[in-house]
Amino acid sequence: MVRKISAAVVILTGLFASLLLFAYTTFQQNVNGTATPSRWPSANVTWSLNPTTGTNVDDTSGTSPVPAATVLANAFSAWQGAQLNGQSVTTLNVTRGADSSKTDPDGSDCTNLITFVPSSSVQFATGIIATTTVTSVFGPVPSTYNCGSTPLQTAQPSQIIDADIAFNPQYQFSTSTPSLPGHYDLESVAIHEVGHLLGLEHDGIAHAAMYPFGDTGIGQTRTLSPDDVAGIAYLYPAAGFNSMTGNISGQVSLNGDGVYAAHVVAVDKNSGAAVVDGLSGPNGDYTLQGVPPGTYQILVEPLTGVYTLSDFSGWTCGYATNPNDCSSAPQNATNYASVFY
Amino acid sequence: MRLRTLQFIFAVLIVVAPCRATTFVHLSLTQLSRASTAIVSGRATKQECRWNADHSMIMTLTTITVDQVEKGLRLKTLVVEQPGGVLGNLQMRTDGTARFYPLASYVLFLESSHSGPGHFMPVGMMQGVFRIYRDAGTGIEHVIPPVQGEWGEAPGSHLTRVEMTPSLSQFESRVRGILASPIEIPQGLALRVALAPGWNQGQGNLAVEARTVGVAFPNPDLVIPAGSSLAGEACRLKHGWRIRWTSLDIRGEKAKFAAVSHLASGKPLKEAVLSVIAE
Repeated sequence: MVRKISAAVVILTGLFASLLLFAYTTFQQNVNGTATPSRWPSANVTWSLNPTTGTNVDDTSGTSPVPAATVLANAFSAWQGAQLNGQSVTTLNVTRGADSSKTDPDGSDCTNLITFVPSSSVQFATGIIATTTVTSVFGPVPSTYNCGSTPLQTAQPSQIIDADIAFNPQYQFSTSTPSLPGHYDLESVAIHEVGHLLGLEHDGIAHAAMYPFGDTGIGQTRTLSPDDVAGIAYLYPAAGFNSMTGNISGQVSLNGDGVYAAHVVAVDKNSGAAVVDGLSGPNGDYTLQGVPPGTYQILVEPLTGVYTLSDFSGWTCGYATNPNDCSSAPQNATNYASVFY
Repeated sequence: MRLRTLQFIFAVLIVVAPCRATTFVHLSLTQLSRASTAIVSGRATKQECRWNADHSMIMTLTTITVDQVEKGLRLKTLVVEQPGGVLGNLQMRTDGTARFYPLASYVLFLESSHSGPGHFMPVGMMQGVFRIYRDAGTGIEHVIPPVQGEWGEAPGSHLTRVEMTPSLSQFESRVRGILASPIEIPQGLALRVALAPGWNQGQGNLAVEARTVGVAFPNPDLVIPAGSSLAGEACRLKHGWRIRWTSLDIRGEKAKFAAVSHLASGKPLKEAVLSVIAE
């Protein structure tokens, strides 16, 4: 079973602080001053595809290529079918809706569009392979919101009402296994973007589907990591999920002082794989949740990878020493250069 | 806890990082610099969210009061546009966008937006936004790299962190060094380009321009954004055209680009897309 590193009880200093203690991160919305995870109502999601693809999407060459639409269906299935030790962890219910002729994301039409052919009015910054825009609401839906006959209910708490994925037509995608040289693996990118569509943000573990950086060629992951599984189960948990996993909690300190925002990683002692990660809170406390049964060592390192101190919603100026003065230095948290086990 | 050697940590992290999901290309500081139409340092002095023109997307517009320009036009203020934002109880979020804090200072790597002069978006989204802070003890200004591992690490490695927050002066010096160095086009680099219409009208040798189709990342020191301009000279032959390419303009910086293309006369000439391979 999970090795408990410390018996320290983590006292959450508020929901914003608690966000830092999760390995995965989710989209949050400020609901009357409280950061609240955004979810699809009743865990039901319907997506629509514009089936048109440009010449940048190669779904006929290489080994066992499959149509782009199949790749996207696989990506949704990966999340819907997330398992831990053979048991389903989520109640997510995904449906493919009617195809759409729309080319551009529209966060106000309540159609969850996936497009390979965004028009030139959709701007991609250099280095961006694909984007997902998630629209969420709490309380009454704005009267200007254009959802046609879709019956929107008053959403409490934060409810996702629209999410669109746009693949950058300036990049080459492949559905071959493995991906064609010089191409991005469409399924890998799709799994990542669908994770956003479902409500997950970026993850700091490099082999997680929600880790944001990648390259062309082989080695792009098409499977969910335990961290991804924990994330989707947190948003849409199956009954009994909590009994399948445990927590690891403790405190990170340096010279007697709690270390704020240290990157804490549970590493499987046998395989050496990073399984779940998170960040320490303001006094160095951390809790890694959703840890599968196993034996772990805890790796502590300076905050790195995709996370930066200013990446966390709710923290004025990120981790500035003086929260009212954004020009001040980050707190002492990650000023150490070493890595600890 | 006990300290382990960096070598051991490298081994662990290599084990845990064999596969990556993809949505961003990790841009080096050199690539950020090359892909920028403007590199400035300045303060976030105003921010507003509003719907775009067709009411399909909330945009966040952050006004930057410019203190220093390293590349591009000398503007006093500029606007950074990013998708997403909050209007009332409605929120749109595009992951990977940068957060700006009131009156905080930043070094920004920017590329032009369609919205017009003075409007930009960060290169590589949050990758192009480096927050500046002043160390209370020393009074020295530092920058926080948005993606750690870039500063001081071995090329291609995400593992070493020699200096997590370089001083602003070190950082600026490095950027200036990059901008002062010539762009090297690797031999054999293949670019897909679209010829500008109308290039073949006229007599004698004709100036030709083409724009790159798609983005290329030939190596960690180079990025060729879509729309980069390739220039050359076309010569009419008996059965077609020979184009001798001479230069590539990457966001205002010119690089020597030697290549020759041959076009048969029967091929449609207007807006032809061809592959050009650097010699």
